[in-house]
Amino acid sequence: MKTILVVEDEFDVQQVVADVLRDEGYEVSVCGTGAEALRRLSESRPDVVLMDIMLPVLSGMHVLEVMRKTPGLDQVPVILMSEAIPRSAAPSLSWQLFLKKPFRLEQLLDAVGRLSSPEGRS
Amino acid sequence: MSGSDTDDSVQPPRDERVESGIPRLDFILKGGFKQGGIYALMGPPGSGKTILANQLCFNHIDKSDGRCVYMTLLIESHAKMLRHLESLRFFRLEEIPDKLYYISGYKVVRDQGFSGLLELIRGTLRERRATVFVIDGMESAEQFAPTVQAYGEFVHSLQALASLLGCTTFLISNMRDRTHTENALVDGVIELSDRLIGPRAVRELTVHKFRGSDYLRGRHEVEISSDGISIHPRTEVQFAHPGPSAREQRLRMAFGLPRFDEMLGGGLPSGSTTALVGSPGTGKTLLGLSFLVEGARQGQRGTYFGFYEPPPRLIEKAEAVGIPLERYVQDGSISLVWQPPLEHLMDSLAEQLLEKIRADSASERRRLFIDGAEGFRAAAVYPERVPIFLSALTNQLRSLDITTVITDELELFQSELVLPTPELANVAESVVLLRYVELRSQIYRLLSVMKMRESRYDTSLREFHITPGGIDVAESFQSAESILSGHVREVRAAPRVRKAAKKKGAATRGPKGKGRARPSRRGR
Repeated sequence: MKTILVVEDEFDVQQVVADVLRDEGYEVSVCGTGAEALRRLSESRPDVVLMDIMLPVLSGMHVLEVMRKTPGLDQVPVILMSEAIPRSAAPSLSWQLFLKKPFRLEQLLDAVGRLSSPEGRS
Repeated sequence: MSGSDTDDSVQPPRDERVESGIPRLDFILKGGFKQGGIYALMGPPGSGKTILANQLCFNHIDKSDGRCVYMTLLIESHAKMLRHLESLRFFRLEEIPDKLYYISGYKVVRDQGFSGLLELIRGTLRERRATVFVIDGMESAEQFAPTVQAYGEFVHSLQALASLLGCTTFLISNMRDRTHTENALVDGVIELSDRLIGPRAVRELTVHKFRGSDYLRGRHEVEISSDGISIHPRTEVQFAHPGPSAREQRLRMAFGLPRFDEMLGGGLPSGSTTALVGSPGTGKTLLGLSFLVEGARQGQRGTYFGFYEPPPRLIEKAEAVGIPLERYVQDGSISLVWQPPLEHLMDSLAEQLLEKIRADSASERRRLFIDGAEGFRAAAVYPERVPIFLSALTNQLRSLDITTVITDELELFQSELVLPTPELANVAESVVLLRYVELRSQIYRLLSVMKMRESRYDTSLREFHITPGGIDVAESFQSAESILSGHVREVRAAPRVRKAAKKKGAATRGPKGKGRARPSRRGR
């Protein structure tokens, strides 16, 4: 079973995204702040991280930066989501896909499906 | 040397202000919010709280290069909120997330209580180096409070944090009681309301409390448009302390109608206000336009501010009776400002008028024709405000040295002269009355100066005609007398003015005239 870490501070978005991904057969864990996301990532490595950019305490970009500098986490595929498309960032801050909020169910499942498949992760 | 009164090493704390950038809100707050202060913004759903807070954030980024954090405690997605905001002109998506950062605190306050929420806020504000912080949905936080005291302590902690970080903080909630704990603790309380007054939906803003500074008290009109929110302070409060009056050297501002100007002692005193009253069709608008055109002839800028006739109709009407309005509109000497007779806000109208006048501030001895007072009256949510509003507006126009003529419409059929805006006759230095008289199946127009403060004037009634050649005022009172002494059946009886103004002129004989105007059979 593929594991997904959903990092989202908005309660309703967090709940509904986690529920539909579970319906699709993914193992989902959730957290609501950037700091908590780093704690979770230090404990276990998910197959995909689905992460909001505007998070309390530490931003999604900050978490991504730490991930890319951490052996073992540097290759974990990341889907960023936000209301605004992220502008230029350091090349090291590579994320795999971006979902502009509000997104549709198909877009979410398509993005997660692509990155959790063996081809998508290569 | 210590304890000296002249010791200037101790600087008084600077009153740093954070401007909202919301039109005229900073004027109401005498400079804006205090930096590092904490303010409650409350109001019912739909009153504009979220728009105001977001607009303030974008303005703060734009004007002060600030950094804002906007935290919601409601179960509402930011995506939905931003979708509603993106149609408004102040919204700039490119500022998100770098300068304006939206987060939710709902789950944290639900799961971890106020200690968890405070930790989240502290961490986020420091990481984002925020200068403005908004919490939207304080009632949600209160629902999770185990006791009133715990909620009070939470607000108190927020206050301490805002002060320590120098981060101006806004707590948004639905309507609260004035004595609510939160309102007692914060530095300022602003209420937005949205009420039905008769058939009208009226939004207003009231500042209930603002520590450490004066502010404009009472209700002020709120308007929400594609530009966002704007506030219209009550005109009478805004101009409670009018500036020094117009210059001492007063000129006479003529109408360009020699006989009428003679009656006025050469014209209206500059910087004064004149009420021009009469039934529909008596010629008020044409007389007002003559006043502007004569000013333009003399090189004086003029402004028409009206509600009923759009500029093309106005020009056509003036040109039809020989008033060359179009020429002066085209060369910019006269501006025509037309407000379609729809639902307006009275203070907003006054602002538009004054802003237009101030934009022409370079020109001297300006003239203004307001057609008519009923446009302001119709816009008044609170009719009892009209007298003091007109007083404040005319005072302001006086201090700008504007010579103003303002019309007021009498009813078409009434036996007595009852001014629809009686207070207008009080605030105006001069009152000119136009009326109809019927004689042998013919309607005649009569003109008289009812009042002219601190000035000599001719008290006689004069007949006048409106012809393709212009407005023709009889050279004496005799034609009027002959009309009035015939078997006259008046549309309007000889006026008994039912108001506090001086009764002058109507029944007073003026100097003996020479000529006699031939009764005209030309209707308009």
